[in-house]
Amino acid sequence: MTAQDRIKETVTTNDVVLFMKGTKSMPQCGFSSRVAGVLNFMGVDFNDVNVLADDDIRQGIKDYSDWPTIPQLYVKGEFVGGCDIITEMTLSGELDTLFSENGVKFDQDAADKIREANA
Amino acid sequence: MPITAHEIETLLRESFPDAKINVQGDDGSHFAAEVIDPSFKGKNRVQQQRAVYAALKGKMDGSNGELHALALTTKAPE
Repeated sequence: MTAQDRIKETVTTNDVVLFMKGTKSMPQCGFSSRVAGVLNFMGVDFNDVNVLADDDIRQGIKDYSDWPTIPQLYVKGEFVGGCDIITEMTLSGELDTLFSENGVKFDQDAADKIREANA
Repeated sequence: MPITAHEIETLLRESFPDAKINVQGDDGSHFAAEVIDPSFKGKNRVQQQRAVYAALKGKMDGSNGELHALALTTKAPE
């Protein structure tokens, strides 16, 4: 299976997927760490894909989304954004809406706490 | 080769001649850029930031890219 096929299968068979440097328990880049941290804190059940463990995926994910940077968040197969976009969406509440609309469970209190702490 | 905030701004200016552009950062690899451009109107953030990355012409690309980290803020003018 090509890298593009593997990526497509991963993002379409899992509701929430984060392509990141490192893993959700041990991120290896500040930007990946920030997004994984938000999802962990919000109690979102997500799949992490460590691009540092696979060069084909590391390049392939950039081609797949036409997006040059890691991390990349996918919800229900759709590319949502990178670190800056996820941060903005978290603080504006748009991420809550996106998760709700797609039936992704998350801790609303935790999401509100992030916004209170960054108000 | 390190890149400067000024070079980033020059690259962005070529693609966004009418934009309000603000680039911060002086360590040669970590920068923050804000781009406010009329062409962003009606585009979502992913589309806006893709346009900015395209303007940077591969400088973000992986290990060969000169730019390791660019924090981006994009929006259309109010």
